[in-house]
Order: sequence, then structure tokens, then C-alpha cells
Amino acid sequence: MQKIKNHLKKTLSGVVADASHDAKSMQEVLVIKPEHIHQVATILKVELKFDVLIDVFAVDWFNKKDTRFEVNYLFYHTAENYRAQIKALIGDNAKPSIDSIADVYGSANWAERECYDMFGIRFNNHPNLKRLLLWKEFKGHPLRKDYPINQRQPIPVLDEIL
Amino acid sequence: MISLRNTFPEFVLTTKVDDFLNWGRKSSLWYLLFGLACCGIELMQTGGPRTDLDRFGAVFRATPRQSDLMIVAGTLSYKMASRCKLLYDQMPEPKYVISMGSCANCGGLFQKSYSVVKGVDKIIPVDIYIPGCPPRPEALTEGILKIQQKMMKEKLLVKTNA
Repeated sequence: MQKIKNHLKKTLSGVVADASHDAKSMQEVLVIKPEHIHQVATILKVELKFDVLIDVFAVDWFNKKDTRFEVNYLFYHTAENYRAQIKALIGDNAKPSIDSIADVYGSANWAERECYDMFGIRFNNHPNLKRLLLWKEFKGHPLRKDYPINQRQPIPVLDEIL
Repeated sequence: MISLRNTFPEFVLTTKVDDFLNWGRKSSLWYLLFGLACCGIELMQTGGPRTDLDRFGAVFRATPRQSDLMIVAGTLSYKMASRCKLLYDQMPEPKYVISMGSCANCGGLFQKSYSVVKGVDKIIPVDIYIPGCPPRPEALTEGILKIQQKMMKEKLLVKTNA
């Protein structure tokens, strides 16, 4: 485990802005810029052999002025039982977007779609970026902090499934 | 009109044709397997050996085309609403609906949610509402008995308004 830890720090030293170790969940937390995510994912997959992407999720820090949205990636190395959490802080608050890693990790496809569905973060070069859980007439993104709690939505019609 | 009561030997039973038909219908009340959330687990428990629904003639069917009763057991989301309506439309007349649990009755815990229908009666007509979160098997059994009482009051041959 120590070996891969050092390897991780060495290979990613150029792009990582901040690194810390979360003792409670026993995983490395690495903060990067959003434009490096595809490069980092490729390094993790090809060089460091992190074979599982557990989840992609976003956080809406509503009160942060410069970086409101934060996309988190959880990678897992099954052979070493070792986890790495990659945080990408997105600068653009109005139209948040980040590169897709669906071509590197297949499981990112649906996870990124859910992320887009709930937070409205656009994943560039995603093969099929449409809503995963909600219906297509839905307006807005419900897990954003400024989503009005009593918002009414158009109800999906039956033609959609027939 | 001459009463036929007590004019036959003991092994002959007298009844009205309507009552006889209703007795037949209420004793073969087939319900649709339609569990949406945690109430579905309670529905399975009610169909199981402890509070055996089979003793009232109620058995589950896996298709709406053979069912008389739909038990909406759980949270109905907007995306599921059109499917629920589709299932209801496929059931043959006469058909009955039990709304089981707080979520199906009024949205329950998820009333402020962006994705949950505020009561299944907004989509399909409901005969019996069962409160509880989730209702115990005894409560569902009571609901089935109430549906049976309702069935016994119906007149299929005699027109009441004529």
C-alpha cells in the first residue's frame, strides 16, 4: 500500500493542487483543476492500475463565490485495497462543465449522467449526456441549493414509454 | 311476494342472485403484484403464511389483465405515475384500488419532494385508504375485508335507479 501511495504522489505531483490523507475513510484526497481530470483518470487507470471507479458525485457549495461546484471521483484499487478521492473544483458557476472520463472508465457513463441530472454539470465529450433518473420535461436541477422547494414540474406523458 | 324462507329442507340454502355473484367475486379477489417501496415488503408479509391473505381468497397475480384489485404499496414518483395509470387501464372491470401507506395516500414523508406524486388518487380512483408508514399486515387485511364488504353491497343485476 505504501508503494502505491508514493507512486500516486510522484506521478500526480504536477497536477495536484492540494493533497491530504483522510484517516477515517483510509483514502487519499487529491484536489485538482477540472481541466486535468481526463489526464489524471488515464494515469490512474493505465499506470497505477486503479481498476474500479466507484462513484462520481458533485457538491454544491452555494456560499463559495469562486468555486461553487465540486465534482468528486472515487477510485478503488482492488489488488491493494486502496482508495483515492479526486476533487475537481469548477470555477464557472453559471455554466459548470468538466471533461467526461466515460471513455476511460465505463462506469462513469451513468454516474456522470446522474450528476448532470441532479446538478446540471455538463460533461464534455460524454457519449450520451441526458437525464438518468428524472424525466426529460423536468426543468432545473433539484439538488442545487437554489432549487425552489415548492417548484411544480410538468408531469411526464404516457407516450414516452409506448 | 311469497317468502321462500324456511320452506325448504335444511340442506337447501336460499340467497339472492346478486349476493351469490358478489360472494363469488369477493372470495376470489386477485390482487396485482405491485410493490413500489417499503410497503411492498409489508404486502409480501401479508401474503405470507402468518397473516395469510389466501384464506380470504386473495392471491397475487403477476399480470394486471387477471387482477381485480390493485394495491398501490409505496411511494409513487412522477415518472412511475404514467406506468401506474397504464397498469390500472389494463385491469378488467370491475376493478378496485387500495392505497396503502402514507406515501400512496398523500405523498407522506416525501410531500415536499420534487419527484413524488402527492397521493395516488391524483392518478387513479381509490376505494380504500390505509394509513400507516408502513401499515402492519393486520391493517392491510382490514383493508381487504373492507373491499369485500364494499363488493357485497354492489348490485349487478338489479338497477337501483330504475
